[in-house]
Amino acid sequence: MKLHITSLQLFLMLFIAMTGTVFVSFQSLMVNAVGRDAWWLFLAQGLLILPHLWLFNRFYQDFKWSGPIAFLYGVYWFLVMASFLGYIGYTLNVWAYPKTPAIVIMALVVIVLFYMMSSRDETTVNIGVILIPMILLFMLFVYMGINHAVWTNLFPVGEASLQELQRGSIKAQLPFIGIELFLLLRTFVPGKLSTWKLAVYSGIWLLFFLQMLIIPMVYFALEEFKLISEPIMYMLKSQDVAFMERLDLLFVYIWLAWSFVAMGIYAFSVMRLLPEKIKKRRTRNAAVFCILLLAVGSRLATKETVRLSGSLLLYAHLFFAVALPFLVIMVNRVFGKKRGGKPA
Amino acid sequence: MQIIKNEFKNSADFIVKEVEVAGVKAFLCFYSTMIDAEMVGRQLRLLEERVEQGTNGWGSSASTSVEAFHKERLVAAICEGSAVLIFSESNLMLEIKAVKVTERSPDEPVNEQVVRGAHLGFVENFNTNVGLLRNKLKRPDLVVESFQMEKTVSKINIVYLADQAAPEVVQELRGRLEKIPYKEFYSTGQLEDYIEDRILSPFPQFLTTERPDRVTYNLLEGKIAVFTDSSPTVLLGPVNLFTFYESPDDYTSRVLVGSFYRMVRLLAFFLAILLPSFYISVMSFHSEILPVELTNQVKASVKDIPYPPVFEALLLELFIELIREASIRLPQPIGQTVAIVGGIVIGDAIVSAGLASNQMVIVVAMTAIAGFVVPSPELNMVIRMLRFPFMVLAATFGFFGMLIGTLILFVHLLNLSSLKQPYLTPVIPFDPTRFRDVFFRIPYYRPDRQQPFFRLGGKKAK
Repeated sequence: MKLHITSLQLFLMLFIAMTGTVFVSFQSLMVNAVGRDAWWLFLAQGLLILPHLWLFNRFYQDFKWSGPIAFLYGVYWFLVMASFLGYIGYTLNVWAYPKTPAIVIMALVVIVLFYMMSSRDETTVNIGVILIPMILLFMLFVYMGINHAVWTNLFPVGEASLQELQRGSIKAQLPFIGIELFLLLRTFVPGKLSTWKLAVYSGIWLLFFLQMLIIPMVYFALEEFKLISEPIMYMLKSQDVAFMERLDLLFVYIWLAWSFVAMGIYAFSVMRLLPEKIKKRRTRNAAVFCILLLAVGSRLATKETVRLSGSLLLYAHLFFAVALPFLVIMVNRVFGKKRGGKPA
Repeated sequence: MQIIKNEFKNSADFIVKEVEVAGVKAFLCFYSTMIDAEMVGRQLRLLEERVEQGTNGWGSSASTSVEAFHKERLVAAICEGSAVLIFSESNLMLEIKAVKVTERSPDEPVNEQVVRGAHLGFVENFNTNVGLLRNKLKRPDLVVESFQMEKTVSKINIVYLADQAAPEVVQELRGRLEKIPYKEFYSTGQLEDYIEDRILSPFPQFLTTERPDRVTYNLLEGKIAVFTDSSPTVLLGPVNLFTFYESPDDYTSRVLVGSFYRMVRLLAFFLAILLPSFYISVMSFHSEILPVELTNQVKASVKDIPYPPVFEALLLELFIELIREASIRLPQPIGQTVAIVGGIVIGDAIVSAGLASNQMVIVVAMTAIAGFVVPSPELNMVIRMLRFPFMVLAATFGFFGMLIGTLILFVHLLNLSSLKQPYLTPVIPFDPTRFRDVFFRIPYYRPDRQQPFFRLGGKKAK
């Protein structure tokens, strides 16, 4: 039976997948690259999400998930997940469990992922809903830092050199990772998807990341970003609230739940790319996938590998979310016309 | 005569008598312990009169029916409590439905009491139970369907409102009931095993109740009630997790009050599962999360406790479970005494002996109370059980363990369904029309504004 999802479910899945892991760390990378110009640079780049999604939505039927393409994306998403897993293992090791081996933490993550993957499709499609109250709670916590905001931290702008802006532009791509999932998930949404809905989604996404960037920028001085790799967590740690001494400790687990679900969505997408014959053996596929993921992820749980995989991921993202989709769509349209076929 | 007696294994209460009805010899068979002898006598006299008057259809009336002799039918009729008259010459048998009904009054069920509203409960007779429902729902689309299990006398009945229940759900349940292999049913619990979507899930997939008003509300919401013929307990489905948090009191209390308590109950779900594990996590791994003043107090109270927090929690939780079991098994007045003695005296002694801290007693007591808030005993038991794996996870990995447990729990709930309807609906999948009902007791109607006593300008209201 073909899976059908609603446009709301599509956008929720896409939002969780795109925000899942990177939103705690992209701020430092951007600010370190372009300084105060980070916020407007991100705003300018973030506005491109709408045309990007619009093009995907317009031509998604021309993007055929055939053998080699499916294989390439399957491997890419697997590596994205392995990099997320390594990052989770590393971060938890640093923040919460310095004495517990990272592989134990990652094994537990993989167990949950296995259960999610061996469940029915509807479970992964819908599980993002449980994050909505957590996201709201998290936003509330982050906004509590607004009292200590120094708005002049955002100015002056325009001091970054062209080279710095180029570097910053690359770093600004981090929150876009996962946008290519739209091409696959869109195939499960029957009928047309209005541009208005795409615009609302793009607006929410942009607003979320812009806040995640601007609030730490007004909270920390520019130099402090060089010392902190996860500004949101440090911000929460330094906030003084009556009911709790360490807000960051609670937030780490909200972020973790977020990342779990994001990984579940990637895993769901990889499983959809498997050939029909293999796809039927769901539990076996999930088990093999999780063992491989743990094996690769555990190699990426050190500071150096986290940094390296993060950098490589950016370039891979540019290839898989921008270059390859448009190449495949163009080729399919051109060849479709030459063969006399009707492009979508 | 002996053949028939043998069929019933010569049971002492099985009677076979040779009688004469309007000059025709017949055998009257019945269980003396099941029939109303006076009614049988009256029916026999009426029968004789009808035969003598030559009435057409002499054997058919509201209480009697005639059919060709059939051994299996004879056995079934007698086991159901009928008296059967066998006319051996004409190979006919006449069934007289004269079952002696021993029935208690429809008192309010002890474990489902309400403050306001009807104080009625179902009894061990299906006909009386349906009568109670029909008194509340005076509408022709209240449908009763009976399923006679093959080779057995157990009868299962489903009751639903044809205009409210989804036909595909009714068909799904019908299909499951028809597939049940022949077995005797003694309880609705046995039946549940056959008709549930996932038998190995700890979560109940049917709501059980003994209250006619609760069944009525649920029938009006499109649910189906499953009755067995000898139990006051009714199974209601399809349900979602939130159904178990609705109490008949919600419908009889005021809108704001009902909504407030519904939300308190939902909060209790999380408290009852997570509170002890949260405490264990904080004490074992994340004490820095608490404000400094509280951390100092807590640390001072546990510094003389020789055991880790998980041991304290397990000890006290086990103790609470023992008290609960003991108070259920004992007669009510003694049960209450045991609960008080156990709770206060032994709890205090445990703290004095240094086996557990005061804070842990508070946490465990709050958890127990939160658990008992659930209006459904089935879900209450599930919650109590789920606490233990969460405590172990918290003791091993702190908040991370709790998160793992919570995610597994949610994935499980998302996988779960009741008669193929999602278990977390209307939250997941989201149904905006019914979502409000989860958290609020929505008013049935929006009343028109009351007429003022005086209109502006001095014009008196009519």
